[in-house]
Amino acid sequence: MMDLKNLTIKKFNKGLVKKEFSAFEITKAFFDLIKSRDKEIGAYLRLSENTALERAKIVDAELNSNSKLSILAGIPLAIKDNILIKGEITTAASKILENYKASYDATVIKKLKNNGAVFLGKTNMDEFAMGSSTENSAFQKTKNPADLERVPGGSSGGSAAAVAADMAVAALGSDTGGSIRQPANFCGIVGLKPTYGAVSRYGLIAMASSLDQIGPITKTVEDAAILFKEISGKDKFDATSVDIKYNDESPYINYVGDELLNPNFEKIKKLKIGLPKEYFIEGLNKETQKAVQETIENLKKSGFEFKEISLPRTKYALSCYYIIMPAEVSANVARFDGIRYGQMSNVKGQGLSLKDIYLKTRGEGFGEEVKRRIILGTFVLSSGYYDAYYSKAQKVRQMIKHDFEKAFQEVDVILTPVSPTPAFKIGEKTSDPLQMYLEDIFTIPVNLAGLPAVSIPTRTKGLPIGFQLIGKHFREADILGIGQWYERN
Amino acid sequence: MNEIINKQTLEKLAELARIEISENKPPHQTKLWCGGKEEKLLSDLKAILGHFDELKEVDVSDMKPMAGAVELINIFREDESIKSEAEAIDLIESFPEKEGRFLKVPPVFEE
Repeated sequence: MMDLKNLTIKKFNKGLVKKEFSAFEITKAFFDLIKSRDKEIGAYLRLSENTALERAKIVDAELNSNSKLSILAGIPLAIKDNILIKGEITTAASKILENYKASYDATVIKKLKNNGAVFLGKTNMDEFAMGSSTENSAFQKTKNPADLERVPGGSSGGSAAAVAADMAVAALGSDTGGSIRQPANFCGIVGLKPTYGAVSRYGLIAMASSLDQIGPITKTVEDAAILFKEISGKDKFDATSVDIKYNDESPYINYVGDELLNPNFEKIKKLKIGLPKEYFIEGLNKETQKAVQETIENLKKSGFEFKEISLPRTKYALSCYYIIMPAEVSANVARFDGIRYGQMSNVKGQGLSLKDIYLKTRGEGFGEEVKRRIILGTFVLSSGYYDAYYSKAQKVRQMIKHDFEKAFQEVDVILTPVSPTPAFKIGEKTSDPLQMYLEDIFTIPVNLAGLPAVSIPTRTKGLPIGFQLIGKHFREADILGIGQWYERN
Repeated sequence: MNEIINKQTLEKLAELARIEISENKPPHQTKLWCGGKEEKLLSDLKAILGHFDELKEVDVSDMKPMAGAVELINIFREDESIKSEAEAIDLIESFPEKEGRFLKVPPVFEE
């Protein structure tokens, strides 16, 4: 029997094909572990044991009939609860969707199903992915497996905690301003935010549509590459999705070859890495500073070339993001009206007017952070303030993107910290929203510019600390290539 | 810009966004935002909007507003219907209240 602790997608696949174990046995073992371990972690909102075991049996049967299996066949995955799986309750950790059963599969889920992946359950998150600690879930707190008094990060905190506590081989999360990378950073695992458009958002409960991306949360960079390759690609149900299998003349090298899964390390080692001075600031926690600096020194010793760069508009990213994101939020969550979705108990059978149904449903159904962002979004879009806030923020966003474009003329990849501090204590930042927002200052600019970025653990002892690699648009292969080189050396 | 939002603006915004904030409603109707919650929300919003003041110093005169993360131009497709992943029956199934195949809604036109 395989040790679940170090079980990666790669190892699972090898063991399965060599018949060292069956998919059924491993899936069963995961549920046994989850049932004891998740009592103290709280990563999962719901388990789907019967469906998962059935799917594992099918994979075992296919293996015995000698059909060729996908590398993801039988892989036990955890799925963030804002990604739809047909027939399963999907709440986005909000009371307003407590009883909502998904009517269809998200495109990423469909792709994973076609590859034979097994879904263990749905994971906890900040309500509608709004938060950086998973404390905004309407249902439960999730604890950081590295230190149970601390948050796992957020909003994909349940997915990150599940993987870090060996309660899943890998997971899916979503990232609007850092929600994959920051929890991966806090929990000591790998999280990839793909280029905007690389992965279909169809079936993701939308938060801010110009920023959201689904991505993998895994134990190794190699696994992140495997999972990313399988979920990416153009989807007719998401008009912003892009086919990244460009022809060879394109500036984007196509992924048809083995670039993602078998990087050419000689080429990878020639990539020039930029260090933006605006990310190595005084407010940076000392341990974080030290861990990231050591990683840079190690890469330098191995022959990577570094260059100091400047992203001068970095300091405006937080304000820019907290105007654009709530504006999109206020539009996206308008659909939760108590009529099409999310009827609350306080309106049922009371003969209320339509307006009162709206007011009460949304007043009771949404948590405080969601309300705060809806109000903020309504404000920045309201007449008289639109130009001063929303329109201005869209222009600043363009400037932030230009900063990156300019930097990428000098370097191929950018290395930064992921968050200003390691995981903080549960309850430490809940009373001051602005303090919580500042958690994401190093991850937000990436979403504004639509770039790919990965959080990878450094080798520091104590609380986990990661570093972030940011790539050019659709150059996941560069950042995952350096990451794969780093984890092998 | 800090004083741009006050209690009246907040209540107006909450009404526009169809979120009940309850202090001026009979207390038995809802538990939320009674007591100091509205005040807290207002002070949080003031702090957040105050933070945005830093954008005033940015000169954006040559900039075009950026609406999407990756610039896509003219994506065409044939004018043909695409079958949705979701079956109508499953969508109807998820309605909170229904009559037959119809979504049940409260009266829309009223005083």
